[in-house]
Amino acid sequence: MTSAATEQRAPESTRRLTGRDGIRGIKARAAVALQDAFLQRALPVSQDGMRFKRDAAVEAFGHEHFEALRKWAEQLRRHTLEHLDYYLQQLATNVRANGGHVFFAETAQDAVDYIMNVVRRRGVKTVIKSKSMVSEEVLLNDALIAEGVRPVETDLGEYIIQLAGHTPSHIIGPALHMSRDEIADIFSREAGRELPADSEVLTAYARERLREDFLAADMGVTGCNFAVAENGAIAIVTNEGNGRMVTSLPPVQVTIMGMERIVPTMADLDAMLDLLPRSATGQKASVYTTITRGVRGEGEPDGPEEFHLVIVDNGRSRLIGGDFQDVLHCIRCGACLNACPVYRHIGGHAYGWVYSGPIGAVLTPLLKGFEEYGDLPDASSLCGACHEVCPVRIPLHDYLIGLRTEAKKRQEPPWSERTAFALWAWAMGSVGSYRFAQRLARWLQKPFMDRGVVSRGPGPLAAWTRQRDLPPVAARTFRERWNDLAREGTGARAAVAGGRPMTPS
Amino acid sequence: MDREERFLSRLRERLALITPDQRTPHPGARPRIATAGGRPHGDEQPPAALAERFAAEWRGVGGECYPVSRDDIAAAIARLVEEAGGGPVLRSADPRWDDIGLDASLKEKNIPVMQWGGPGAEGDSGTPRADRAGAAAARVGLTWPLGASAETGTILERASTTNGRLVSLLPPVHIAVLEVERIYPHRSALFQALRETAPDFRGMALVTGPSRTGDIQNDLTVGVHGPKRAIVLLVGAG
Repeated sequence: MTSAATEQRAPESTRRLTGRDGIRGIKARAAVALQDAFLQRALPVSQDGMRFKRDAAVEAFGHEHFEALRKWAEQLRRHTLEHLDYYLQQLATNVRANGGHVFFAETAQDAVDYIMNVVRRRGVKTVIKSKSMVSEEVLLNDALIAEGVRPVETDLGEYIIQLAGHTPSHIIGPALHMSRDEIADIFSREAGRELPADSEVLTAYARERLREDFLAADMGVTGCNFAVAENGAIAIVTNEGNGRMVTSLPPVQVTIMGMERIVPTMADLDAMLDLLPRSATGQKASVYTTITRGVRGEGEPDGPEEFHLVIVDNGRSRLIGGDFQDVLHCIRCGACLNACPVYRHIGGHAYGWVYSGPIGAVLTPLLKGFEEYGDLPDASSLCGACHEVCPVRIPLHDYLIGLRTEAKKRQEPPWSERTAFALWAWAMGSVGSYRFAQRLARWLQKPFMDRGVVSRGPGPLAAWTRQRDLPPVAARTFRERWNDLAREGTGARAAVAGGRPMTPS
Repeated sequence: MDREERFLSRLRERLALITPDQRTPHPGARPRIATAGGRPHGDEQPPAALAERFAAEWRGVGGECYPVSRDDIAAAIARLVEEAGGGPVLRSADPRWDDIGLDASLKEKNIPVMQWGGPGAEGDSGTPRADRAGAAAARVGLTWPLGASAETGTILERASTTNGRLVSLLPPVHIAVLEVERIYPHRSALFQALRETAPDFRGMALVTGPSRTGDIQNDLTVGVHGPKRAIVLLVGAG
């Protein structure tokens, strides 16, 4: 642990990622993240915290039981996806039977247009939102602001980054890239008075401030952890209670969901609710699981009078029946982020879009295209830790390799790679050229050798030799030594005959 | 073709890539494996053991839990409200409050009490109905949860004409009166009971302790949007 004094002396980079950086390429974004002193201190602490809590929760539940449930959940998710047309229709029928409206949005724009129509029709001025990754994906807030409507994020982490103008850096902890001091500064500016960097005080301020918006809002927008086909229920899981507020106070509720976020029955929901909180935060249960079905019942004193469910495709259906279908099993718990050695160093914003970590590296190129995001799958050590913790067993590490292949297929290799492989092909083409290449390499390596190993590689080889040494081409190859032995005649034959036979007799 | 049909037919085109014999069947009922304790996560436990487990779990997540006898509920609530700094109290419109004489006990201590929603005319019992501003100003909310799960220490607040959503949500202190026979071993059993008794709910919340967050540098902070204190009075725990 560094003391406060050394922390003050440590040079802090002025440049940091916010998620709206406009830097192309994950390497370039990662380079900024690696210079961010606070991020480098904070990431391992929060990652370890969440990871260890998850492991302890699994331990308490029983490993065998948890594993059995993961396998069951994998099959449930696959079954649901492979019958998605049936379940979506059933869901829509039941939501309508509960007095709700259902809208099927092919694109992000369709979803935004529909919601904006409701906004205009109802004369909405303030929208309160509980955390929704899909609404980040379709850029709903930008559209609301453009029409003079005030969107207020109510998840504390989302509220912080909204005030800061950042995007979320973690699926579960959107503001974990920010320090207590920074948050105090932002809240002080908002409050118009100095607030101390004390989490209790800052949280109390947010409670008081957001309470006004909760009570005044004309519309609530929520995400959806699970929709239940058999009864049209929407389950929202939160710890703060903002999900309950958003579904209880405003007269209009809009729920926006990715088309795959559906389970067939309440019994299936029950099982998924054992997996989600344990995987996400290491809790047996989140504090609030809010389950609503359409509009308020007759005679009920609260709950929405108008309900809209917006089901978003936005590129998802393209993945069904393809090589990466299982990525749609994801329940957005964030466990893969908490297990990933790459996320640990580069953080969420380096991934360049809404979803980060291993799931982001897989989902983003698939939904947003390889043109801009084809390099995300490179940000992985392929250790498989993400697959190990995934509550629905998505083979993320296999997909990362598959996507690297896909990305390579889509781009012309650079001249250096083409030249290297042309030379390789020539060298391997005949015995003569192979021997010549060996002799040549022995001679070429000399300037890069140090104490018998290649320690300072030229050009692209430097990336390897910076970390470790490369063994040199042997001074005498096996074939050359063999020829020597053969020339020595009987000695060599005797040595071979005395050895063990290489094939079973 | 309308939008919904277009959406679904595009989806079906993709699904057609998976032949019917390749389609995965539903996995059936969830697996339940006995843990070290020998019981499959709380099944078949006597009510006393369930109550004990519930109380331990509820306290484990930062909630408070006190056993009370049926005759003592109203007095216990009045005492707790007084200790918490007084009212106003916002209670649900559950008829059981009248059975236990709650309003009289509160008025005895000069604690103002309001009712949220409920059928019938205002002021049947001389207790005023709260409007939204009144509900927002309440210091304590009182409910009778529909049921509970022992395994996770969770209560189920089902929205109804006599149990509004805001009562257990807006006030900084929530007191829930839970009868022990309503405690089920786990959420699965609780959902089964819900399916049998109240399948047509429009809203419900599974509540596991007081509202909390870790969004500021992972500091655990209690009482963000929901109640800061979550108190369960266990009735019939012996």
